[in-house]
Amino acid sequence: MSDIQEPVDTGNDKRDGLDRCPRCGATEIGPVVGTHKLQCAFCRYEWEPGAFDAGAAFDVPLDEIVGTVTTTGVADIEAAASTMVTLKCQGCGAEVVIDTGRSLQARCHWCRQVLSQNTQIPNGAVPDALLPFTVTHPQAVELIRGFASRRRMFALKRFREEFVPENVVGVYMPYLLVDGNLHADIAGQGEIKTRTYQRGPDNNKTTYYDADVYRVTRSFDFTVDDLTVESSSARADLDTSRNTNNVINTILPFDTKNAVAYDARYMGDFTSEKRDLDIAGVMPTVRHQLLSIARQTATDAAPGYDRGIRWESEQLDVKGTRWVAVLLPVWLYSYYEKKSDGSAFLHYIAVNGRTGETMGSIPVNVPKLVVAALVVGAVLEAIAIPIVAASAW
Amino acid sequence: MIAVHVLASADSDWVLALLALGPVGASVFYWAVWMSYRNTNKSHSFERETAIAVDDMRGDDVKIGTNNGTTARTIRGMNSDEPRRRL
Repeated sequence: MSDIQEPVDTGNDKRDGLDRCPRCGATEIGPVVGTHKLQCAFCRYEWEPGAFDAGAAFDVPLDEIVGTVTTTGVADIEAAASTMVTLKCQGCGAEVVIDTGRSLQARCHWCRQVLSQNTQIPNGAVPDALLPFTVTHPQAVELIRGFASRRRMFALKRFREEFVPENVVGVYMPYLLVDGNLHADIAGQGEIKTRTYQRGPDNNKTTYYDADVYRVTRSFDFTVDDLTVESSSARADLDTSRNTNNVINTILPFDTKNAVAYDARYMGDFTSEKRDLDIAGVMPTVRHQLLSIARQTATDAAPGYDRGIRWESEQLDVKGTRWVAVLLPVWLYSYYEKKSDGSAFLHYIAVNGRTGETMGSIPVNVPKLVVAALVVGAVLEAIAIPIVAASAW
Repeated sequence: MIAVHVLASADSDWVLALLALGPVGASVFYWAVWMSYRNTNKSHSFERETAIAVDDMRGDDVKIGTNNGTTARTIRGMNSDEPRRRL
């Protein structure tokens, strides 16, 4: 890939600390969930801070991107940068510590005003943009209740007993959005069926196929808009034998075009996770996804091969990429399954905070499922054995 | 009666297939319920749901031979339905 360009500054002009209501000066500000508005809890004034605009470098058409275009929000994370940040309260002078791994706001314990982390410290906590929640807490509760109620029969008994969907929490999850300007060369062999016929005795015919074999190549330019990848290493681990992060991955995509410029006041009662992967850290995943998209595109562009294609080589030329760090809204319900061997397994039910798409993992009562499967097997066998017995006569 | 007649004229493959109905049915039921609850096979379909624009598509389709008299339904080693499998 080409050289990395000077990052676009996306919002370090704001100060940390007190972020006041433009009308009355109070700091009690939170999101109006369901809209893109912020509301002052003191004077009830509502306003919409505005859409995310990364500036001229991001106005370049996708097929003209060259090199690696980045923002300050995706800057490399410094190893020494702590997640704990100390903010000085401009109200009373106290020093307040924020755990930026969990939230980007804190209340001053002396004067009770709310302090915001606005500048992009080199620990990955502050992104360029975010998507506010539009799915409300009651809506998320109903979606999770509906998802789980359709899976009650074989759910673990303790899960059913302890199921309280009202405990769902809203979390801003860190992702990187990638635009790409690419070229792909894919080649392989495909077959087109020319004849189908049967041979053999009447009671044991075998079907045969004749086919023409073709050498298939596809070479094309393509652009990718807002490919979304996890930028938290814990969430990027999609090994289903260890975790259920795949259900959070499944609720993608988000309507990222509607993202607003990052503003800590959208946090409200929500928590956030911190980005801990740089561009280099997600690049293997991004490259794999871009190659997969290229392969799918090549297959779509070779529709006549009714016996399929065996792709044998694939090459991707990355002419340019453009990166933005975002926080995306996810409602999460979690359940710790304690297994008989003492280990624990964390199950999630996740709701896309924009589209309401819901996916989850429900712990299974394995002995009950085994018994049910044996009953199903026994019933089928009870049907099969008399037929076999009758045929033997 | 029709089934019995068919079986009587079929070879032992049919008998084995019928006897396997129980174990196979039990396994399929277990697998289907497990997947419906745990969803371990689910992930974001990025290869279909990402916005892309394709330009200047070129390529050749050159006949290089035939594959006649095969019993396989698809080309050997077909991977056009597995875009995530790297070559």
